[in-house]
Amino acid sequence: MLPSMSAVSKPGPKPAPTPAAAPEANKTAAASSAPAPLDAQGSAKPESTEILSGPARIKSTPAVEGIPESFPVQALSKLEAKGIAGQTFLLDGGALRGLKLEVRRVRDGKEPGFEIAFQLTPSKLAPLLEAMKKQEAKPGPLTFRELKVGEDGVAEYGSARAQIKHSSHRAPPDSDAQDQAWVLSLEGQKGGRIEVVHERAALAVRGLVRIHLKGDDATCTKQLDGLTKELGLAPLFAPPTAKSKKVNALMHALWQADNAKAAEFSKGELDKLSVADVEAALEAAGYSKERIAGIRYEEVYSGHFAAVDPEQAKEMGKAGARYLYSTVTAPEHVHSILMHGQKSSLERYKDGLIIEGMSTNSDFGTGGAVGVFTRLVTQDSIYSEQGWTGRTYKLLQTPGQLGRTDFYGWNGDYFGKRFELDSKQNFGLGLVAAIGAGGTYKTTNELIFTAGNRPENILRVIATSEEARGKLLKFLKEKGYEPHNGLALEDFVVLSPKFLIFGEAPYDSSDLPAFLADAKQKASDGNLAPLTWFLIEGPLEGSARAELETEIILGDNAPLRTALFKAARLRGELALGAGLDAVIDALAAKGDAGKISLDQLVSSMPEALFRSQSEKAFELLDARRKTFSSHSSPFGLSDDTWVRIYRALGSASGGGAKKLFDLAIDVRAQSLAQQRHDGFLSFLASHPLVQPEDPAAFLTSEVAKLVAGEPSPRLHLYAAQKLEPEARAALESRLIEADHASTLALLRQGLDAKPELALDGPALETLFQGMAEGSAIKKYLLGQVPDVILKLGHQPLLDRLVAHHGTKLDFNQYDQERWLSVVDTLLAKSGGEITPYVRDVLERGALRLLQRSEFLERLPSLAGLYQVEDATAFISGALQEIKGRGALQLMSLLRGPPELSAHRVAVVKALLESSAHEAKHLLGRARDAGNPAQLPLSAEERRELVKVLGHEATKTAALAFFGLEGRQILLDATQDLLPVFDEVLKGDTNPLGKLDLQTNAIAEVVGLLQARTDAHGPAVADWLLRKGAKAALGANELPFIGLLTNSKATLASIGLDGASAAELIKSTINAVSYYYGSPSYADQPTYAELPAGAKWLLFQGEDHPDDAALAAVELALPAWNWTEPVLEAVMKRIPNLSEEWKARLTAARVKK
Amino acid sequence: MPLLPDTAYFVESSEDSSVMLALDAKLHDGLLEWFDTSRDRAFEVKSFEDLPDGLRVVTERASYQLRRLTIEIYEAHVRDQVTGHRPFSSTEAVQEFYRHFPR
Repeated sequence: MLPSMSAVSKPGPKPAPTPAAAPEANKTAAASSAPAPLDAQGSAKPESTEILSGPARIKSTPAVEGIPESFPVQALSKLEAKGIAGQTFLLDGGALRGLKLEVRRVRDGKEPGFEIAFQLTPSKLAPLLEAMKKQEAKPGPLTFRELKVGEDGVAEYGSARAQIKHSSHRAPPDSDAQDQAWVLSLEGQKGGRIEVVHERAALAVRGLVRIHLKGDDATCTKQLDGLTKELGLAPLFAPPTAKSKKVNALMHALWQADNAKAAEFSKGELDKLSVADVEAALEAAGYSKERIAGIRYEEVYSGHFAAVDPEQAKEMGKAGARYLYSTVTAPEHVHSILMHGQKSSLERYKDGLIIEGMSTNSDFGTGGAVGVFTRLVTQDSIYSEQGWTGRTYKLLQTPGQLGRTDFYGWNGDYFGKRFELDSKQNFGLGLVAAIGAGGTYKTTNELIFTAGNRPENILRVIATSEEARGKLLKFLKEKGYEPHNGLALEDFVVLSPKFLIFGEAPYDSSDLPAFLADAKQKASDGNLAPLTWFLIEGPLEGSARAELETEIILGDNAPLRTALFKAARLRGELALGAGLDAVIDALAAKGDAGKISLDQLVSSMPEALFRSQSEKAFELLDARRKTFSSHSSPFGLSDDTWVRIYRALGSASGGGAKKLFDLAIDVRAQSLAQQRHDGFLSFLASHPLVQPEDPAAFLTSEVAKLVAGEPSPRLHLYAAQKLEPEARAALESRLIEADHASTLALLRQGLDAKPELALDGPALETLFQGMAEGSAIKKYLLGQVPDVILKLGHQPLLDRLVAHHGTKLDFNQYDQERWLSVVDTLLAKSGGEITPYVRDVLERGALRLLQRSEFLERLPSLAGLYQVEDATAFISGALQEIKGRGALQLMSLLRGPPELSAHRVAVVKALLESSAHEAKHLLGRARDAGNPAQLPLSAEERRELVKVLGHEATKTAALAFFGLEGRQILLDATQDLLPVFDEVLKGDTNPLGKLDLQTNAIAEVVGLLQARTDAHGPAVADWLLRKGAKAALGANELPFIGLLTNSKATLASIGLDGASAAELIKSTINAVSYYYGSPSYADQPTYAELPAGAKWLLFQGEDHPDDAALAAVELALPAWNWTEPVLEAVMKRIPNLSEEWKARLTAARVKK
Repeated sequence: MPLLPDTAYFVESSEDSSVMLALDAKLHDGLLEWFDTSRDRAFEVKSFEDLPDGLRVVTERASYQLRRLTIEIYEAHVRDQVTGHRPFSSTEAVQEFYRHFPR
């Protein structure tokens, strides 16, 4: 029972109207690492619908709209709780962290049920664990199961599981390494099961409780009722009081404002803590009464509510915080976040999103797994032209989130460490200052927001290249995504290689003259920040910015000029626009040495001049194009900047826009076309620059120029443009027909970018027929780009390839991507039909294609790939050609269309029995392609194959099978296989290694076997414990040793006799005994105890060493050559070793 | 050897046990950064040196050694630390898996 919980389960008085008069409140302590997870334990009923807010008594409404505050504990049928997220409740029985409880309907196989999850406050965790231990709850690992939504909206368990393991990095020092025993699990007497994570597990999951109920709603209600009564859980489901909600919200704010004070409150008698106590602490931290009154609950992420302090966001903004960002790579991932928001590692696991191959253990240890990670961008970092870190796309998020009271941060990569936090560096203004400390922006800063954040927080998506932006735009358009903030998609997904100039200004410029006067004064005092802000982001309305620009250009103030040049470089344009004409004239007229020169204008702000539409700017630039341009970087501008100029001028019509546009095109366009610059191609798609009235005549004249050795920029631009297929084919035809080095170069440019021809096969064949044998273009097409030819699907061209390449089955095309592209093209052309041509090409590319998971995923859909009448002959023939066509034939039987599945066992057996190296490789690929990674065999087929191979004269094939599928074979095994295992592994010094099990994995497999509901699982687990004991104890594997202790194993039960145990004790101690006597290692805890393996062998889970084990050591000791100091050191490390045993062992050491 | 694109690396550090896998690792603008299968990691670099199969980087708080992830390294150090403990038959297969890993 939980005494303190049950003590408050009785009805009590309603909360008093003032904070001081709330004696019924019974707060529980929070871990210093937690965000003030305090919950008033008031006993008022939900009808106490008043909350405290200062001295006034006001009507209560639910704290968060849509989050219910009453849980139907006696009638679970009232719960909707569908979907992965289920339902969230705001409750308070004095035990729930953050007042939050989640419940969802689940289905395990066909059985319905519920899963209830919450985290307990630390003071309530210990009594619950104690109560569970008394009822013989079993220890186990913390695992999460895969979940998917079924057709009726109920979450269904899948087969995948993930276990959270120990990691010591930046974890609290009290963290328990025995991750196989982090959870206590107890079956209820009326059914149902409760799992509780203990207080020294990974920080992120401490106190996590999950209640699993199985059956219909009525059965589940009874199970919950049973567990509730058995463990005294009723207060968990009590509604919150007005006071508990208020104190919880204010404590979150205090967690940020004065973390030390919040920790102090958490340690004390919190039931004596009043709202006034917390308010006073906040006021002492500098919070005004108005600010405190403005703190409110919001659902900051779907199903997650937090207290929000809007003033904090404003305050951090004034200190220079502009926005947050996080990063992702895949467009589908961007889309998912835009639709659903981001969720933390812990939320992902709780929601059953198990991602194979992922490693997340470390940030569970640091506590960071509870939140989503972002980075803060400051105004200074934007103006100092800092760049993004991280993955391809940057999700720019509103600084409004900084009002949340459940985030913290670091000014570097601390992996989300969630303890030893300090308000001076991890929160609010202190955090902003730390990120900009020393005038240097800390690029690797991290801000961690609990649970997740809403998609509405994302204000822009940033790409850092045109290619990436184009890819994302295409994907989002295909998905029909419309930005939530009303922007056009093109304005929502923006290109910005450096930090985007974005976010609310930290200055108030509503009184513009006053602002400017002040900014100029500050600039003259050396603080350029306000003036720079105005020049970059100041209001464009009115003429103030243009006037200031004029003043600076014509003036002689060097610092102001520096600010202007920076603004022009960052913005790429001036407010002056065509007004530059007059300024340039005035500047030219001055001719004054020491003032800004026209040359300086060109070198400092070329982009702004191009985009100005000023006639004079054109003249200035045109006259200096050679002086200021290098071949690779005309006017010092990047290629992306040129595209920005084209876009700005492409649709402009005023002043000198046309001249400036033509100049810009003349300077850089051909080069961009030749490079196939993505941004430029995208611009060309909407602004075709070459549109000949008579395309045929155009091609004739321009190709003739190329052949004559003359340049043809127009043909290059034309080739780079988006053309209709007929126009593209006509261009290709002319280039091939000309058969000249210059036309080959242009053709090649196009094929390098996109390896396919618009010409059809017969047309190319006709062209080939008219060309000389030694033609360079023909040689290039057949020799260098056979995939381009294959895509045409024309047999005579395939025959030409065969003739050109001789016996080379794959035509020397080694590129897997290009083979995949050939397959895609041919199957698209044939409508998925496997024609003889398609089959021939697939077999030619088999060795490349089979390396690609995309192809293996597609293989089952290739119906009709092969007709197999005599499987034995087919397999035999395929094995003969396993280095070529046979590879596809064999893989088709393994992973191909369903009509071939009947031959899977036969082909696996044949490949295992084959001595060809390629056979094992092929099986490996077939296994790797599975999800999970297994050969496509049923458990029954797997068992049968073990038996058949195990009885063969040589064990080579059986061992190969074990090596390939060992873990799965064990997980599927039945008791009758154990003698087969013993026979195959007889005499092997590392039997489990042969079954693909390293020592550090044994414990997990044993755990899974023990969890099997049939009788075979535990029997196989016992076998595994015995077989693995020597190796795992010898390697001091803590999880394995934890299993031995939990299962009360003995030497006999794991198949060890005294002599072998003594030998193991000796070897594990010998591996570290050097350190026992070394002063350098004297203070290292690792060497203060015996190695874990030796310790278990001596104690076998008990408090005192086992006499039989000591006797075995005594017997063996004379032969160990241990020195006296070593034996002394060992005996010191054996707790509770009696004097008698010390004497006996001492005597044994010198016994002859 | 410079860090290669589309290559998964195994990361070791005697001072930082939180590291293991590095996808999309890159060294630029004085930063070493990668995606660790769950989140972005980034460190300011003090110095670095090429290794035959990767890179050794010294940052302010720790030094990191990045080696191209091979099947041998995966089996010895990674497999039992990642969800699903997926087996692979070759270095190419493990590299391909992490090339396609969701990020």
